[in-house]
Amino acid sequence: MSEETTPPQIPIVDDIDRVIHEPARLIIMSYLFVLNKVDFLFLKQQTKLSWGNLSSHITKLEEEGYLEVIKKFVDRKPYTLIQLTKTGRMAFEAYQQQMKHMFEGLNP
Amino acid sequence: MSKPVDLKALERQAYLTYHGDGIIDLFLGFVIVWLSVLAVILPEFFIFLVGSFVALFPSYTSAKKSFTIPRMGYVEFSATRQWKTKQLFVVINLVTVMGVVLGLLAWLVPLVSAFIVTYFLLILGGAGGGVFLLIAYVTGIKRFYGYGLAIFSGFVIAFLFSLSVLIPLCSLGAIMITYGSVLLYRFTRKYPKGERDEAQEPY
Repeated sequence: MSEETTPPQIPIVDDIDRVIHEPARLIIMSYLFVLNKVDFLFLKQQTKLSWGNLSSHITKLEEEGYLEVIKKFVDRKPYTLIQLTKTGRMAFEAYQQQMKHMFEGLNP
Repeated sequence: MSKPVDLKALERQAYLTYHGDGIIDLFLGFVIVWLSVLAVILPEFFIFLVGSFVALFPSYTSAKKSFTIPRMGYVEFSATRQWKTKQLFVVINLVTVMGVVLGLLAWLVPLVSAFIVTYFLLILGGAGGGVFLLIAYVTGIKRFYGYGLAIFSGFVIAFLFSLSVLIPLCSLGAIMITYGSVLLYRFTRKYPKGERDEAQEPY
């Protein structure tokens, strides 16, 4: 009698949001997820990214509709503030769930 | 190996970095010195004037705008964090109001007056120490646990050895101003002001 073996369940990684999955963008999204609004300088100090890197990742996330850039005057000084959009917040939550499920699927 | 992203730790780290400038220590240190001055100049009205420190709040906001934001950047913390801060202010104001009520009772009811006069230092130490411990617990700024314990033990020592109220107040004020100055110095070295001017912000 031959034993029929079923192929192991391989976690589906294709669904992972690759825009968020990139390490620098993941840390940017994480900060924006827990903070309400931040400006470029604060984000740069926290993430330790260079201005160029930070700028390009923010542009990418903005293109995806995950965050919005707002001009705000604080004490008569202009600040470029960044905050997550509703889409961005939902995408980050979905990403968290996907990663959680993927690692659950990797358990021996 | 890199650590996993802990969102709570990330938020706490951002909050602690923002308050790592020592301005809160300097502000509260000066508030304590201010209260000490009041205790010397107007001892009979001291209990009623405890709330006068609220007048010093604009200096704190102004210092944050002048030192912290140009170096560290602007941040608005989450609604939960803002709610916690508001609750903290409510509790501090309640403690202040309770102090004023105690002062009024001391004036009106002789029995209460005798109790307050006898245990004045312990009441003040308990209330002051409690407020600092509460600040430490709510904000997560650990050095405030130290300040809370220092103020409480300072007042207990003053009570036991019949020392002036000025000794624990001025000692703690001096400790906070000194430590706050050290933190501010470190902060200005770590985050120079020119950073934003050199910025090539894309928007």
